[in-house]
Amino acid sequence: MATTQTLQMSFINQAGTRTTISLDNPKDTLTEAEVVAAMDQIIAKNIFNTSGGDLVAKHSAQIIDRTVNVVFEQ
Amino acid sequence: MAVEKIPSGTVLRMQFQTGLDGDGDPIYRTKSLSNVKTDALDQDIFDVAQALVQLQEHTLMAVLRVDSAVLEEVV
Repeated sequence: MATTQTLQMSFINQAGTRTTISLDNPKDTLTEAEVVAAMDQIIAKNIFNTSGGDLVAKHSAQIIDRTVNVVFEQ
Repeated sequence: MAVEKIPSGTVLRMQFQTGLDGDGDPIYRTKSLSNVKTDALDQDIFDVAQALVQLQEHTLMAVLRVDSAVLEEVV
């Protein structure tokens, strides 16, 4: 059984739709403040082009746990 | 014949070392973020990479900027 974690950061673009940036293996000690700071930095630097324009606001952030149970392996 | 170079896309690529394999050689993993503006500043791309790296646990080996361009004949 293997568990992997992914951090998903959701942003709102100029068109009002959501765009997600995900990152594997987030730190176990990750705090809300750290994630918020990184998301603010991403918005401030404005280097991403989405189909709905620039990223303008934060929507949410979540950590997804994914567990894989191998049924059989040859 | 004259050719014009038109930027068509930029990708931010972060190379991580995730561990060592059985022989003690490093295992690398790459995270790519496409949809980077072709006119984005190197400093800004680097800063975003740093902000993302701090959120995860692997060691950053390199930050790469991959620019693509289309070559077109100028009539």
